[in-house]
Amino acid sequence: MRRSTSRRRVRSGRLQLHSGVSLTSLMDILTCLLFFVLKSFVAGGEVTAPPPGLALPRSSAERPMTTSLVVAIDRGSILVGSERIASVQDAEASPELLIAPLATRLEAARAQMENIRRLQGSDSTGTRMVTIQGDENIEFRVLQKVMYTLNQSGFQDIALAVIKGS
Amino acid sequence: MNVFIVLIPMLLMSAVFIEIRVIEMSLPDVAPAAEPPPAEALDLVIRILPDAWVVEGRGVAAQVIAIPPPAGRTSATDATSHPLTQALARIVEEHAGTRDVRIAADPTTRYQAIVTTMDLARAAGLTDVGLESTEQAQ
Repeated sequence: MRRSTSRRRVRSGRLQLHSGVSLTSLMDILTCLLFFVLKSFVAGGEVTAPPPGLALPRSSAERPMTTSLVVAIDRGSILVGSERIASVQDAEASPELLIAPLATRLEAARAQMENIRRLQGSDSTGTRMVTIQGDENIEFRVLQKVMYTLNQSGFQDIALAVIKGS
Repeated sequence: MNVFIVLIPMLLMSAVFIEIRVIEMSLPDVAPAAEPPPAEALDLVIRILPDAWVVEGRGVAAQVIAIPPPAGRTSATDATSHPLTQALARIVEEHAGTRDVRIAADPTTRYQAIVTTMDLARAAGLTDVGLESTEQAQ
């Protein structure tokens, strides 16, 4: 009786040893997952992702986002790329439509873009697109000032970033 | 193996699973033309008030459409049956070829309300949308 139970233990011990998760299959799963995640990262990743804490408005717009200079307006600050340029409170309080620090930064960005275009040998008077990523709760006066500043800085093509759906 | 275990959560955290779309618009030239729009132009304006939209235009009777609660929310499926879209679609039918509309918003109007109004105007076939403040319009 004792012998038979010890044999069973040995057998079950061996079985456990062989029935562990196969590393090859696991690697296959992880590789698939990695490619999937990488693809979604490339398709809608760093360039298009709004800064944390910024909730884009919802819309039924269908046009996909293209890579361009991004001006983000969250509840506290105005950012160009990931660089904080001005505060929303200052922009709201200012009686002028032009946001001076933003205009300075945009001028620099435009000069840089024109330099790149010149080095590439393409037409320097091409369209300059800016994507505005505004929080759904910002007030129109802030958006108006940002758009006015963009216009004055030579960026006339605007894309308002939104989240698809209701 | 360890690299995979580190890479996957890192990429998952940075990946964006929401679909971002854009509404494209062109701003007017810095030095706008001094001449006013032609007299026969419809000059359609949607004013966003706290509780209603007001649709105005040359030769069009002003219409007041209440903003249904919850304000500022709509979807593509119900956009065509929305009262504002229907009112705008009727105007577009009567004045064929109309594509331009101006949205006049109060300085304190929320961005979501403006985007919703733009969606409804686009659903009615008004694709060239301009924004203006009611402060400068009055």
